[in-house]
Amino acid sequence: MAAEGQEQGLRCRGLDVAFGGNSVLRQIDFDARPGFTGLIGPNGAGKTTIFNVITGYVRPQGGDVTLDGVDLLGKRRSAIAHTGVARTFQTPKLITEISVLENVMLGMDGHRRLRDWRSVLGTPGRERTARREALAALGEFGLARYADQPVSSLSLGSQKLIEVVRALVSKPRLLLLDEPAAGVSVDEVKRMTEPLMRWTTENGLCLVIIEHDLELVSQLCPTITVLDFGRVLVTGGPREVTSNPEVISAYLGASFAAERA
Amino acid sequence: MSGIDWRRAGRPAAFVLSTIVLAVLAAVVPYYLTAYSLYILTEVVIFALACLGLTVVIGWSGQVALAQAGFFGVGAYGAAFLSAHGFPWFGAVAVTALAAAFIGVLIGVPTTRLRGFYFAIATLAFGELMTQIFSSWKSFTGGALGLPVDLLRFGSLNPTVSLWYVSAAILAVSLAILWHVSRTRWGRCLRAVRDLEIATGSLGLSATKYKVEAFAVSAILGSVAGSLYGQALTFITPSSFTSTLVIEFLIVVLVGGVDKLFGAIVGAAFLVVVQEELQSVGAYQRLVFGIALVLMVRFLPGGLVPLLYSTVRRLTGRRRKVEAGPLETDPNPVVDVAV
Amino acid sequence: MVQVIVGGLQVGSTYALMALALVLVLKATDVPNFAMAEMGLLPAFVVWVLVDNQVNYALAIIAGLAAGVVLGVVVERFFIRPILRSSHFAIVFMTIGLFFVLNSIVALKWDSTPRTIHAPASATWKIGGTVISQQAVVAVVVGFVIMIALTLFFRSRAGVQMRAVAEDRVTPRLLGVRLPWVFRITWALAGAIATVAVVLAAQASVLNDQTGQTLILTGFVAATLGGFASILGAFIGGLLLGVVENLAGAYISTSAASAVSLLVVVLVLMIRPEGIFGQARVREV
Repeated sequence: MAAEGQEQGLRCRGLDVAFGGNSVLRQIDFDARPGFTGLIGPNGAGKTTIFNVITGYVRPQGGDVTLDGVDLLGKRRSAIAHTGVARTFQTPKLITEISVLENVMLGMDGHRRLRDWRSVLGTPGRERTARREALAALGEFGLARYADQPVSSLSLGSQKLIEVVRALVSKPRLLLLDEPAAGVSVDEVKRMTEPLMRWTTENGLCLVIIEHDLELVSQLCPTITVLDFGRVLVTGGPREVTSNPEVISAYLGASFAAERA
Repeated sequence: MSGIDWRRAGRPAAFVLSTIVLAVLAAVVPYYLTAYSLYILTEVVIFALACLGLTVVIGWSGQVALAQAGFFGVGAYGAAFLSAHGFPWFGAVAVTALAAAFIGVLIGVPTTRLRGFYFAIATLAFGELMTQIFSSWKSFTGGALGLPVDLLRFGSLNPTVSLWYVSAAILAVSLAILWHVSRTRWGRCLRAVRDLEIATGSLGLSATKYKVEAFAVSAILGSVAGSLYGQALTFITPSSFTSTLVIEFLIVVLVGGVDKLFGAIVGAAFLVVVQEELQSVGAYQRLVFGIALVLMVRFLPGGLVPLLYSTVRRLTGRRRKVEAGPLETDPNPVVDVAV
Repeated sequence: MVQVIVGGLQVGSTYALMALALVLVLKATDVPNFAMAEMGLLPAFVVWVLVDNQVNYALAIIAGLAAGVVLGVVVERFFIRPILRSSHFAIVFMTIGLFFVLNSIVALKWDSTPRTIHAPASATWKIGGTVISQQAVVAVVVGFVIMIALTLFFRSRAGVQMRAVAEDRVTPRLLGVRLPWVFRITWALAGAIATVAVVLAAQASVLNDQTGQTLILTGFVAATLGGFASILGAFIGGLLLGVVENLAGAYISTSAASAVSLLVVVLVLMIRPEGIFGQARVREV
C-alpha cells in the first residue's frame, strides 16, 4: 500500500467542512496528479476552502487528505509545507516594503534544514547561494530586473507572479494557485503559464489552479473538477466538463442551459 | 530593514571608516568628559542596549512585549548576586543572560500564541511579577534594603571609565550582530511573522518558534543591559525597576522608531537627556514626558529617526526612500476610518 | 471569613466596572485604553472637591459623571480618532501617554494624601455576627445595575449599532451607521462608568493619585476573564477577582494579594485565551 501511495499526488476523500452549522463542503473527493489540475466553480462554491483544508488553515469535520501517501490532516501548517505543499493566495501575501528578491528568498527560508547550521545562521556563503537561486527563479519568469525593487512598486500581476516564484523556490511537490490570473493582464498570464508548464514537466509538480477563466483552464488543464455549493459536480477533461449541462447551468443559469439543450 | 543600506549605497569604505572613527572616539571620550557626563553617556548606552531588545521583539517580530523591565532587573540582580559569590563578572553576566533567555522561553511559549493585545498584558503581568519577586525574595535580593554591587575595574581605570568601555563595546558588538542578522534569514523570518502573520505557516515557517526566539533575544539583551545598569547604580534596590521603567523603554522605542536598530540609540539619548533636564523640574517630569509622548504619537508616529533621515537626505541630496515603520502604517489595515 | 468575602465583592465590583469600561472601548473602537482608570480618576476628584465644599452628594456625583463623559468625548475626538488609522502600537503608546498626563495632573494638584469622599451611606449593618458596610452593598448593587443597564442598552438601537461596529468597520457604514457618532457615545459611556468605578474604589479604600493604578491592571484582568466579549463575564470576573484577592490577602499575605491578579491573568490566558466566558474566534485566510 505504501509503495502504491508514492507518486500518487494529492488525494482528498470525503471532505466535509461546516462553519458553525453552515455546510461549506460536502463529501468532496478531489485528486491532483503530476501536471495541471483545474478547480473551478462559481463564487462561494468552496474552492478556496479546499485549499485551506489541504494547507491546514481549516480543519474538516470528516474525510482525509494525503500527498503521495502521507497524511496531511491534523498537521501544523509549517509541517504541511515541509511535506512539499506550497500555495498562493487570492490577494498576494508579500512583504511590500522589501525587495522582490528578499520576498522570494523567504520562500526558501522556511525550508532550510536545521542540520545545515550555516544556512540557519545566514552565513555569507549560504546567503549568496540562496540569492543566486532566487535570482535564477525570477529570471525564468522574466522578473530578474525587478529583483531589487520594493514589491510595492510593481503591478498586481507582477506581484502574483512573485508569489508564484516564492512558492516554487521551495521545490514543492504540490502547488496550489488561488486565482492566479484574476486581475492580471494577458501578457502577464502568459509569462506565468509558460515557465509553470516547463516546471511541471521537468519536476513532476502537481499543480492545482483555481480559476474563473474557463478558456485558460481548458487550455492548461487535462483534468478539471467543478464545484458548486460545496459538492463536486463533475471531474473530467475540458471538453467533457464544458459541455456538461449541470456545469453550464451552475455558471450561466438554468434557463441558458435549457436553451442550449 | 534597519535604515540606510550602506552596502547598496556602494560605499563599504565609508562604512569601515566611520566605524574606525567611532571606535577611536569611544576610546578617547573619557579623557574629555567629566565623570558625570561620562556617566550620562554610559546610561544612554545601557538604555539603548535594553531597547535593542525591544526593537527585535516589538519592531521586528511585531509583538508588543512589556516585560523588559523585569529582564532588566533579572540582569542587575543576577550579575550582582553571582559576582558577590565569587563568579567573575563577565561569567556572571553570561549566566544571568542565559537564565533570562530561559525565563523568556518559559514565558514566551505559552504567551506568544495569544493575540497581540493579550500578549502585551500577559508580558506586562510577568514583568510586574518579576519586579515583585525582587522585593519579596529577600535572601537573594536583599529586599527593599537592596544589594551592593562589586564594581568593575580594568587595570588602573576607575569604575566609571571601565563601565563605559564595557558598555560601549557590548553595544557595538550587539549592533553589529543584529545588523547582520537583520539582512539575513532570521531577520527575514521575523519580518514575515510580523507582516504576513497567518501566511507564514504556508511558507514552512513556524510563527511561534520565531516569536519565542525574538522574545528570548530581547530577554538576553535586557538582562545584559541590566547587569551593566547594576554597575552604574552601584547599589540595587527594587525601586529602580518599577513599571515607570516600562514606560521609559517604550518612550525610547517610540522616539527612535520601533524597528530601527540605530533608533534605540537616538531614543535612549532623548530619554536620558530629557530626564536630566527635567530633574530640576522634579514633579513635572512625568507630566512633560506624558505630553511629549502624546504629541509625538499624534504628530510623529514614526519617531524622530525618519525625521532625521529625511533631513540628512535633503542635505546630501541622496534619493533613497526610507520605508514606513510599523507605527505609521498598519501592516494589516482594517479599513480607512474617515472622520 | 464572610467579612473578607464581602470586602472582596465590594472591591470586585469596582474591578468589574473598570473592566466594563475597558471592554466597551476595546470592542467598539478597538482601542486598549491604558488611561481608562485615570479618565475616571480626574472626575472622581471633581466629586471630592465638590463634596468637600459642602455640595450635595447627589449633585456632586452628577457633576463627576458629567466630567467623566466630557473627558471621554474630548480624549476620543482629539487624541484617539485622529490616530485610528495608525497601527496598534501608536494607539497603545497614545493611551500610555495620556495615562501619564492625566496621572501627573492629579498628582500635582492633589498628591498622595489619602482623601475620602464623604458619602451618605457610610453606616454599617450587623448581620449575624459579621459587619457589613453599607458602602459594600452600594458598590455591588451599583455594579449590578450598571451591568444590567448596559446589557439592555446593547439591545437598543444605539447599542446594536455599537455592536455592529465592534464586529466590522465596513458594513455598518454601508448601512448608514455613523462611526464618529458611535465612537463618541462609546467613549462618553466608558468615561462615565470609569468614574463610577473610581468613586466606588475610593469609598472602599482611599482617594489619591494612586487609586487608578491598581484599578487599571485589575480591570484588564477582569476583562480578560470575561473574554473581552461578555458584559456578564467581565462583571463576574471582576467580582471573582476581588474575592480571591481579598482571601489571598487575608489568609496568605498582603503581597500575595497583588500577585494574585497577575497570576490569574497569566493562568487564564494560558489555559483559555478566550477567557472564561469568551468564544474562540476563527481567523479567515
